[in-house]
Amino acid sequence: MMKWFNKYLSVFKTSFKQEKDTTLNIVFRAVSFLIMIYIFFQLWNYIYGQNGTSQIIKGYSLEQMIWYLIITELLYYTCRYGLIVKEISDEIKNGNIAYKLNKPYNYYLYQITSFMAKSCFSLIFLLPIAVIMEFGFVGIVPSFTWAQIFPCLLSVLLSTFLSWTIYSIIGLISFWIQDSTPFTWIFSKFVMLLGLFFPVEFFPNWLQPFIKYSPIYSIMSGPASLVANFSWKLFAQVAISQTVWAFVFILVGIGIYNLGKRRVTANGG
Amino acid sequence: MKIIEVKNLQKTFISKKKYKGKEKWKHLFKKKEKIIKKAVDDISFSVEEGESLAFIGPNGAGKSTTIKMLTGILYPTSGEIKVLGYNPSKERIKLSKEIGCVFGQKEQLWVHLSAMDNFLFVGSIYDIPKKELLERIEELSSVFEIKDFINQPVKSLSLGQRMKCEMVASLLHKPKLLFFDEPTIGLDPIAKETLRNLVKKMNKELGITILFTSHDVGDIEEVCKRVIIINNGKIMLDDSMKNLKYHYLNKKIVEVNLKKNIKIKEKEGIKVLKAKDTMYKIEVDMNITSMDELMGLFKADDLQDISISTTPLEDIIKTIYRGANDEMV
Repeated sequence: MMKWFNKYLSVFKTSFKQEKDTTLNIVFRAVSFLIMIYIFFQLWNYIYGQNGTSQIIKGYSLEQMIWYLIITELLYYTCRYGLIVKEISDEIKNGNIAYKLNKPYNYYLYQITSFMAKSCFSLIFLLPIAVIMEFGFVGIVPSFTWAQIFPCLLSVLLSTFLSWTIYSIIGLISFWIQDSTPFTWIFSKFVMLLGLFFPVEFFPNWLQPFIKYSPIYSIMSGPASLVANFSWKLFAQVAISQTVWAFVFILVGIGIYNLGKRRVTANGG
Repeated sequence: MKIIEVKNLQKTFISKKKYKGKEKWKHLFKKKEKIIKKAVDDISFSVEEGESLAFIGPNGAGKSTTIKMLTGILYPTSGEIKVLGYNPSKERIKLSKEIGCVFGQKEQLWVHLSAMDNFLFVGSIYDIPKKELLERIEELSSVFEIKDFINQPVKSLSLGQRMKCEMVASLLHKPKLLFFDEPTIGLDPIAKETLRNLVKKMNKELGITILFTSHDVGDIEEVCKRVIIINNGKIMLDDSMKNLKYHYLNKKIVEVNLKKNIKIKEKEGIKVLKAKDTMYKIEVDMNITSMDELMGLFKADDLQDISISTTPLEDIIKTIYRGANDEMV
């Protein structure tokens, strides 16, 4: 088990090191992140301003709403899903996957670990920007305690990990179909609509349980709500839901990979 | 001991027919016709421990597909494969710990990282203890003479240096069997020579079984003792390099320069390949005729210059490839 862990830890470390070469790309992403946050800050400020900035909408004050939004945007920006689903998809289609299959690791777990490292590298740049912007726009989150930093960070990391288990499965669909981009597009739009812009409390009552039990909640609303409105009970709920979903998707991913690898068609050289 | 055993191996690729123009619309809702291509067609062979085998053939012959099935990357359509006692498609991960692969057309190293970082990564994925790994890197970097650039990013290395690093990476876990898929492609003659010597050294001194594919006949001639020629998915020849040369190098190329222009009559075993003024290029099949017969076709006094050479191995292999294609036609 230890050897197994060390193997994937090494994949993580090596991918992280390799990522250093993309620092300039991440700086540009950070600029785009800044602009996006500014636009949404203005929008929510206007909405809350209509009824006075001390207004509470669906249980969220303006400060909490901005914290929620910045965390969801941070998660969305950290997970470069389009690029990475394309990477898996291209490797399957052009047969380059063959050169990774002759190594003693599971390709699906290798890719998740490698992407996780890439996301963590982005997080190093984007997280401080997010926190500075928060303080600049709305100040510290209400009822903040130092004890909530670790659980919130853990939840953010679990969210990123869960995203990769799902997006990697979408990439693996290329074993059967020519282009998995439409699936990426559909899933990412669901994530946007049901988690990125609004907390779950903003949706109709009948829809809320469906969202809460969906993986989208564990990816977006869960960790963002936790930061905006921390409680140990919510942390337990979100962390359990993230862990269970990650476990389920890893099993599904390994299953899909085991079925798909029979379909590898690597042409000669 | 047999390291590789292949029995009646087949691999077919199925694709769907693509229609153009009006045909495309006609077949929009119809089941598309399937195109079945036999990439490997019922081949059987075995490889003994310590052998150095050349597995060659023209493009699309099925050699890389066979290698990919032997390493567990591709699943065979039918037939049996045993490599080091493992079934590659069912025990790929176990097998991968005992074999190494070097692909000339595809880098397996992380290009932004140094060769050393790559070796440490390879060591960890093959579960090599740190102390043992460092000793192994030290040993191999001396043998392959890569110490001067071991800490440079791979992307800054020349192709020859990269290939050396690829080879070191493939040897760290002490594989019993090494697959080389066109490792000398794109290398200059000196780098090629160095690499060939290193492969020979691995085979002779470390006792590693080598399976080598290349389009460069020089590689095969220097490195391998046995050759399998595959074409259209079938084995056309499986013989030792010695026998191949003995049986197929029976044709001599004689180039003569005579004092005057004469008509050389072709006869069985003697074929004029080229005639220009007083220069003649003649092929003599030594199984049918002899040099005396050829010399009898002109007077010794007329001879200004003569050179005799054997048919290059490359031409022999080309003939075998062509023979296979003619059979197919």
